Amino acid sequence: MSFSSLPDDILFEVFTCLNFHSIIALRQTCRRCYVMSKTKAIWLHFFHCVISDPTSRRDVFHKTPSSCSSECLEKSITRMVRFETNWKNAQMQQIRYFMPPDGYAATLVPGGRWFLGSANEGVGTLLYYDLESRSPEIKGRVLIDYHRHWRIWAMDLAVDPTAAQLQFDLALELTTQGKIGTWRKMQPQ
Amino acid sequence: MSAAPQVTLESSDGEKFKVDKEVAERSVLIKNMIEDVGESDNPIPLPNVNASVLKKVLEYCEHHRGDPLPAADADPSNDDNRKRATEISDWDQKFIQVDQEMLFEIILAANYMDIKPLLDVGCKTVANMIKGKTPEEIRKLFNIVNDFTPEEEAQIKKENEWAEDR
Repeated sequence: MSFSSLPDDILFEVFTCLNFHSIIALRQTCRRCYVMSKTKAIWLHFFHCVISDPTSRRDVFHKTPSSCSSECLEKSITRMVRFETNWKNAQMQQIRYFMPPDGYAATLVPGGRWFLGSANEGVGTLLYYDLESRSPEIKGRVLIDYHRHWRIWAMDLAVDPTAAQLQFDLALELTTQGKIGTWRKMQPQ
Repeated sequence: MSAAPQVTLESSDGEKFKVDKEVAERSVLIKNMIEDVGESDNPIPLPNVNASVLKKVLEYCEHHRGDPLPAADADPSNDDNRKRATEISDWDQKFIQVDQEMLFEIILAANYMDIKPLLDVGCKTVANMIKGKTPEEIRKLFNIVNDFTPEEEAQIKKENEWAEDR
């Protein structure tokens, strides 16, 4: 009797006892574990124990978890865990002041390194700031170039948890059209 | 005072174990069998469990004979709480310190005999063995054959890369 000869229902039981990182590690060992790790029941089960912790973020779900596909469920949970991982790993010792521009909208990208803000001159420019930059002054760099007719009032972003590099969808609320525009942007470097 | 009622269990390799009914009934399978056929002196056959494993399982049942039985229709969220907490009591931890082969045999027997708490102890133990290990370390630990093609492996590694640096 070995691990590989355990029947599916037992392998499932083992999966339900694993923490997030162990699920990710086990799925990379062989085909069977990979397929098993993609089943909805495992993520649904995982979700039910995540919500028993009141400090965890439930707001990543936009519909009831049981109506999500297995992929969507995994993605949402991944996002949640990723946020918590990054949050816990954040370096709190190094405190420095950062004056964001007098723009209309600003947001911190999950993970805490990148800050987005509309520029003070020409509110149609979206700048990004590297908060981990070692230079004495944190300078904004252009993410979306100046649009004469724009005024960015608000923005929100959704980080793609599956991408190897930081990657997110960005929604901007603009006044000219009164519509919301979306961009997908890769982090430079 | 009359002696506690006893039943006889027979392992796959023909060994007979005489135990208190209360102990045997930690197994829902056996409990149901006794309820179905009524009490008799005939041994109850367990064709999927050999003597060395059955001995171990009965040791567990003996120790936990007085524990409250888990409710059959327990709230699923409670079930999750219970399972996710990977703490195992000291006695259980000592009890489950066996070689891998025996560990998996106990898990299978617990599943077959329907002894949920023992199944949990076994699965949690496996989970604890996996905890903190890399995929390669897990393969080595359980002798798992890597059946991915190099391309697939690279792809899956990439997919899950971010989760690895803790």
